[in-house]
Amino acid sequence: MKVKIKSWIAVASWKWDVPEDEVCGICRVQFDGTCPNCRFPGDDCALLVGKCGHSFHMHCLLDWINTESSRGLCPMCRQKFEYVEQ
Amino acid sequence: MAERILMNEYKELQKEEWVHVELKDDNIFRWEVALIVLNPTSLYYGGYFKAEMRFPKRYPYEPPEFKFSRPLWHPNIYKDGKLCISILHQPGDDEMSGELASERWSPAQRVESVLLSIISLLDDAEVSSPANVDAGVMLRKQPDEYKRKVKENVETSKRDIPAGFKMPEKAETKPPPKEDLDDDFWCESDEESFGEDSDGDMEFG
Repeated sequence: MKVKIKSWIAVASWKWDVPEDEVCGICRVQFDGTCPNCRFPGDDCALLVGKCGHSFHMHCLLDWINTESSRGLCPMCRQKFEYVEQ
Repeated sequence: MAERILMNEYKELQKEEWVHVELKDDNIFRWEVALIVLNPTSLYYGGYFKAEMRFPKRYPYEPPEFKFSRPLWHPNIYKDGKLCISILHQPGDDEMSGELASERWSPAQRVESVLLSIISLLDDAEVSSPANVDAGVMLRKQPDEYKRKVKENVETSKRDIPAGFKMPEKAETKPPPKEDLDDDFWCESDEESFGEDSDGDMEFG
């Protein structure tokens, strides 16, 4: 019997490369979900992984870093927050 | 964002025995809380300390406000019931206060961590705080008189226990989880440990 493939549908799944049950230290939502202001996970609601080892939704962290009183510190360990280039 | 986080925190805290939370006017930004001191070695044991919390629209980027409904006689509590505690201060404020940035508010803090800090502040006063200088002096120089005033505060606070509210029993009387029970262990240690609790936790000055 000969089979001719006429078309196919490709499906892929993706995950952030962080431990599964890890949550954002600011909004406490799992990283597979979005920050509270976004509707869809993905590049539009990216993660920032800090050199100090603490990760956040980019939007959550920027809201903090942009306040004067944050003085650029990580909310968890209060070291200077610098993110790892992905 | 703030509403969603506060709603989650509110639901979580409803499960806790050491705190009683209600919303004021159904407003998620205004809470009526009561701290219930369950630790029998605390000077504040048995108290039901009512307070009001207000949350900014920018929570958790900005800290909540906390105010006891009945001001307590305590070096770190102002006469209006507000507190002098670093966790409620933004890291950028008053650089000269001597508070470490590591003890200040951050968006990783939560209502639970604030309330637990306040409960530990009760027994662990910072005597150099300006909030109530007289109380600070009394704690150092007349610890017995200080304890008497605290006991008064505790008794007065019990008037705020709502009718029908069942005060939780002290933490120690809870039965331990079953799997930890080991008959031999309990038989042997019973006599030896009798009367050995309540060590120096309550010393002042």
